[in-house]
Amino acid sequence: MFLRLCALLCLAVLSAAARAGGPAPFDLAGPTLDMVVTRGKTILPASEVPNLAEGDRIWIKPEFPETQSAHYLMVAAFLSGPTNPPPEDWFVSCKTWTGRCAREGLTVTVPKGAKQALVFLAPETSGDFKGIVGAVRGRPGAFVRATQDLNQAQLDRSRLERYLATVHRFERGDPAVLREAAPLLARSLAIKVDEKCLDRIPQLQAACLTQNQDGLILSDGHSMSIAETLTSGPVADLVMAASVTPELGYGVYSPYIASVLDLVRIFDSFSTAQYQYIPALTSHRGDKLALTLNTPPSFHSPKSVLVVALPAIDAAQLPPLRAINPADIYCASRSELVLPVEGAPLAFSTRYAHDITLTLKNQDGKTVRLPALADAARGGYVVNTAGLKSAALGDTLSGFLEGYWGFDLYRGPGFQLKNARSVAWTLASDDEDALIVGRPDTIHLQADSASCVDRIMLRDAAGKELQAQWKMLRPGEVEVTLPLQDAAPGAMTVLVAQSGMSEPHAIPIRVFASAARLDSFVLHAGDAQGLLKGSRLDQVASLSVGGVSFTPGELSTQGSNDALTMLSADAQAAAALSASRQVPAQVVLGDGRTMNVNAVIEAARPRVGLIGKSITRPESHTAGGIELGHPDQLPQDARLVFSVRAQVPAAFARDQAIEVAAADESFSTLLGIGNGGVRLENARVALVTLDPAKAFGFSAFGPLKFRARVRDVAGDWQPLATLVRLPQLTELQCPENPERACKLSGVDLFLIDSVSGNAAFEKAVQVSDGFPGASLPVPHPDAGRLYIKLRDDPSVINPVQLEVQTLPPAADDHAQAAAPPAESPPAAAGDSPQTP
Amino acid sequence: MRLLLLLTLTLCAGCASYATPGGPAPLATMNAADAEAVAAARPTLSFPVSINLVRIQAADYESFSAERLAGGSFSVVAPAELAAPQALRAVAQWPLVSAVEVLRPALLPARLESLDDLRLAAAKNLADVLIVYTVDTRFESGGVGLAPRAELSLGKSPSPNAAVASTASALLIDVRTGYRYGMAQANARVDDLADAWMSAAALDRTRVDTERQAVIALLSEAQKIWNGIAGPGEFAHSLDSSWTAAR
Repeated sequence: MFLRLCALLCLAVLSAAARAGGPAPFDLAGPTLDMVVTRGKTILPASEVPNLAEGDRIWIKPEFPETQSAHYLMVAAFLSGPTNPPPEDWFVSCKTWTGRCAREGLTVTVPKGAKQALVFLAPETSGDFKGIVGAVRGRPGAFVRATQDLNQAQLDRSRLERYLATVHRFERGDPAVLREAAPLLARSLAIKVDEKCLDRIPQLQAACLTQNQDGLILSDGHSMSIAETLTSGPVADLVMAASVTPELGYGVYSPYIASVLDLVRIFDSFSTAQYQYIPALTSHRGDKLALTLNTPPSFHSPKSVLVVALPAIDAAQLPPLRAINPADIYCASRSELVLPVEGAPLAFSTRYAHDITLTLKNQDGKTVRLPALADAARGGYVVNTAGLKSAALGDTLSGFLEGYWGFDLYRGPGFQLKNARSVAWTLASDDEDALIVGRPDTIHLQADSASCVDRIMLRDAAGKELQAQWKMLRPGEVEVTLPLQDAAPGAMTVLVAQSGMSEPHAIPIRVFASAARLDSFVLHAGDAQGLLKGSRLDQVASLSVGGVSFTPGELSTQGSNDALTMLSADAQAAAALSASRQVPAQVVLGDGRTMNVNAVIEAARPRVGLIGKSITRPESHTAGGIELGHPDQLPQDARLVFSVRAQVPAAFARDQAIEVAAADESFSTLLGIGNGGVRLENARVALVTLDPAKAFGFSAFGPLKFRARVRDVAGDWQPLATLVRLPQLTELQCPENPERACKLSGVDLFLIDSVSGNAAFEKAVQVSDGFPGASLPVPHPDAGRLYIKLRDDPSVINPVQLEVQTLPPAADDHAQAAAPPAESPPAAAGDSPQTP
Repeated sequence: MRLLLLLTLTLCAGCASYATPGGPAPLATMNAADAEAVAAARPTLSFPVSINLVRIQAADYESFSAERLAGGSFSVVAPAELAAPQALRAVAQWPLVSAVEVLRPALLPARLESLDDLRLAAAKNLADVLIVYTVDTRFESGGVGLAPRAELSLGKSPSPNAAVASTASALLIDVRTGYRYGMAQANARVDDLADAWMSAAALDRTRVDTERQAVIALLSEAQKIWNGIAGPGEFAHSLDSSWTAAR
């Protein structure tokens, strides 16, 4: 029933608050309190005291401006819980404007049994002290709750203030640094950071990051345990529900919002005709406590009484600091060593954790303590290691953060450290031959510890040093990106500068020209050569597979892909390699690097043997009188039939074909069983029929070759014939005078290379290229026969059997030198028919 | 107090006598008395630091010109005549010192019992380090040291061996924990008192000058201690004392 009533009450308050746009912000500056707490022999300023204890002596003195006209009565009060009104002697008053209090302040001792402490600053009036005593003793539970909420709000606000101050500090400096610091701030202070803000231009980042300030504060269990606030229950639930409203921060549960809302409710209920109580949050200004109000004080009835919560009177709640990564190893020699920690935002936002040191043992067992300062923007404790310079420390150190939380000794997380020393850096074996110029390349450096690395440089052969980007992958390994874009191949040096070492450690490296890429090496069983594929194969010096060495042959390039024929000097050994899909092969490059490639030894390539061939010309095309001078000449209009015997494989397969092509493979045809080009005599013998004009067209000429092919695997080429095109010679007219030239007429005379009148081909006439005419002057045949060389096979002399028509002598026979009335050859310079 | 002294001087002008100053505070004894209690204390300096100075003397200290501000088992004496701005400025030049001032009398308790009372007053003034010093000034006549508050007859030529000697001692204390950073001592001496022997005021000026010299020398010695605390790379070693106990 009580819970229901409480929930309804809170709902009403929250609704009102939401309608009003949330509680008024604490942005009015109030007076400052000087406060010192003595416990035993130790005296601490209030800024370093997270909790009070019975017997503590508290000295408080408010600081008012010199022009302060209103007189404030200061009342220190102690409470012993919500259900027990405190005795009257737990209230001590002090007139701040006169007498001893004005000079010396107020000193009180925390009484036994006290749980909470409050300070009231009330405007001077009659009955002021009694009024406060009565109010507190009448409703101790409300004041207990107010104390808890004030403390909670103060602790939360300390985080927010530290966050805002740091963000604005970076904003005034280099805004770009904010991008790096913001996530660390968020982690250290448990503050919500909108990462989208970091995508804005630097000048707008700070403003974005500090929007909706109250909603930025995330829950911190440590603060709640210190403030003794409730972390569950209907009030907290309702506050969480309310916090999703636009007025309260769009879903970010903020304990600060919860505390402030609760304060509004509680303090509203305190109001009397004489006094209204207004909350005053304390924040640390150096060692002083600055009061901040959310309600303007009133000096008319009801007059405003400022209520200030002192730290809870309770056992110390030590900060649950933990190392971000306990396995990390840090460099003890770094002048500013950052030890990343999290889990206790108050360690970053307050001075409660003070006199923190990194405690180390030296080799003699002596304790060395290094001052450590919490730095939220760097995400941990920053340790000044200057004091280590002359300390005799070993290579490996174990240390821990140690200091005080208020009056209590505090021991924090431990850390592993390495002292700077000359370590043996090694280049990862995979990187040794992998550095290529022309692009940034990555290497991995390994040592027993990389924690002391400060920077890494790349020095070229000329001594020029370039900064290298690096990052630590593991405690003993760094990844370095070397700027090799403009580097030249050759020897270079990586310089690793470490904290505490005067000279960088030099690691010689070798960088290479763009590396050859090896895709495959394919060799057919029985072959003495294989094909290596990849890129930049011009760097290949040799290849070895199965104990057989190959040297580079012809290199062909298509785009970025190369194909390199690899030839074996020992053809017999190469031929002995048996077919296998996985054979390791080693390639040696010209600069000495070795690379591995997988070799594939395929089955032997198909091979056939030529048995015989015959050429058949159509009857109508033999009247030109040209007799072919060599049996390998294949007139274009003829038909070639040749027979082959299967060798590898031993019998013809159905998908086996015979490929016929020109010498330069500019044209080719595939003759198979399917297209009728191949007819099997039996399983091992086949007859292949080639119709050149049909297969290749008019413009094909020259030597032909053929090979067997089974799907994509082809055998070796073998010579087949020489394809020649023949002119059609129609008439030969000669004068009687043998000294005079004859006239040869016909079609396609440009197919003739040269013409002679004797078998020895003496005094031949060269036909100019591209001769378009229908007749040309030729030498007088010695024995009634002309001899020609065809342009398609000029090595062969072909007799021409053509009837010679004798021309009657002309009238100017004596005057004519030799020119018959033939057409002139083409006018191209140097192309005129020549007569020896 | 000052008015009373002037009146006495006027009335006793014909008397021509001078009372030597009171004795020093038993600084070494006070330090030793606290030694066990602060043995486990740890230095807590967060640089830069604020330093307060306070001069203490014997409980019944009196002098021709000094003013006693607070009493008890020892007394606090207004140090204005010794801690001149020049001396304060010198301390302000020490490394990692942000502020220097004389301990404010208003912060002192009504009765002084121990050094902790001074620490608390310095803490209220938000100081980090307290320099407590005392001056032991002795007049000598005929080669014999005179007791504090001894009466000297003036007007005649002093003893050929008349002299005034001051020994200033200081203790550097961590305000928060009471940790002792160190103790320093320095001396000053004036042997020729012939000119000053004519009047009490002149003789007291000589006494004050001697004490000032001693204090200046003392602060020079104290700076050596401070350099060992705040000098580069020194802080870690100043923390080498093994401590484990909670405060």
